[in-house]
Amino acid sequence: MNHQIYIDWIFEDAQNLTTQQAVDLGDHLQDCERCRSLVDSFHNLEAALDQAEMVGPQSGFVSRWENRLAASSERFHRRQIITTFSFVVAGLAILLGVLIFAAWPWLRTPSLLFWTWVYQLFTVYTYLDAAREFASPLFAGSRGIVAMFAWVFGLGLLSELVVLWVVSFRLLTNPRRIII
Amino acid sequence: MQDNESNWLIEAQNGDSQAFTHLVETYEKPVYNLCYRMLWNVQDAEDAAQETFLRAYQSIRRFDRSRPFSTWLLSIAAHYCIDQIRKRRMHIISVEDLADPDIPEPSPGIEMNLSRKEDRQRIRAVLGALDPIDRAAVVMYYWYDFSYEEICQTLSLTMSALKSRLHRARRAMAEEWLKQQTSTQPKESRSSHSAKMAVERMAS
Repeated sequence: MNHQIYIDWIFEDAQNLTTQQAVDLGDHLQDCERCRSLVDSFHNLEAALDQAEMVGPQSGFVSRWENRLAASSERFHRRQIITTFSFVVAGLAILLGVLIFAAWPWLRTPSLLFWTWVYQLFTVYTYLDAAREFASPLFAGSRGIVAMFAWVFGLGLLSELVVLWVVSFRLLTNPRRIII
Repeated sequence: MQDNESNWLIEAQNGDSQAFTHLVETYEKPVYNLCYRMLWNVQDAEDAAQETFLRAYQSIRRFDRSRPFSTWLLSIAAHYCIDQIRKRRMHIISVEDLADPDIPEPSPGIEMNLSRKEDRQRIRAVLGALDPIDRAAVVMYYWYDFSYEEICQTLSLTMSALKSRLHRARRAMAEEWLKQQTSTQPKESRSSHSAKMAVERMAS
């Protein structure tokens, strides 16, 4: 005898069975002890599950949860600090590494590095001095020729031209607000 | 109650931990029960329930208030327990190997208490034989009276998958229950009366 179909029906939801299937199953159960014991076992199991009560935690669950939450937040903040610190340290280490790598030839000869810096500073100073010598007679001469009022007027005009230039540049480069 | 819960949810989503504590008070028992029925160990259940609330608290801002909070919370608990069972399997510990905790249950007499303890051990063995997802589905179906839709939502299953899982689980549980009965009771004491009753029930 093929029990499989009846076993499938036993564990199917009762409302899913047709009347004929329920009758066939009932007939089969009258004759088959194996299937009957399975049905019996299933009903006993369901009864035991129905009787089993909900189990609750030991008292003080909420306060234990609050402690756990506090510990978890503390852990989270500590981890955040460690992560930030690690990033900063890693960044500095990388920067230092790059600097050392770039400056390695100079670091091998510190005296050469020193004299190069001195030479650079001296060159800059020479350029600045030459510029001062060139500009100072011009400035001194123009101060006598041009009146104070003319300086103010000239600077004002120059500012206005700058503003006009900026506005024109923006108008020309910005996209149109209204698309035709 | 429902209004209170909605208010607590809104406040908790705005970062009020006190409001979330009210939610913990409300749901501690259902969450713990699910964890206990899944893991069958008091300490593990306590840990799992605590972890569930912690995870819920950490992701409460992402919770969609159009869904029931209980389903969402139990979904976190179920998935956490399923993961724990899978991890536990890696260490090859069977459910039967764990000590049976004496959970105090109100009972009128010693016989009743013994019978309940026997039933509890059988339920434990029966559920322990199931796949973790099937176990979660059975627990939600029998202890929480969840509808099929709610179980599908909680366990992220399709309706057909759930029906097939429940069908398979019922059969496995009935067979295991029968095996347990056979091993603990003498043959003659098995009730033929209850079998007849079962036949009548099925026929009706």
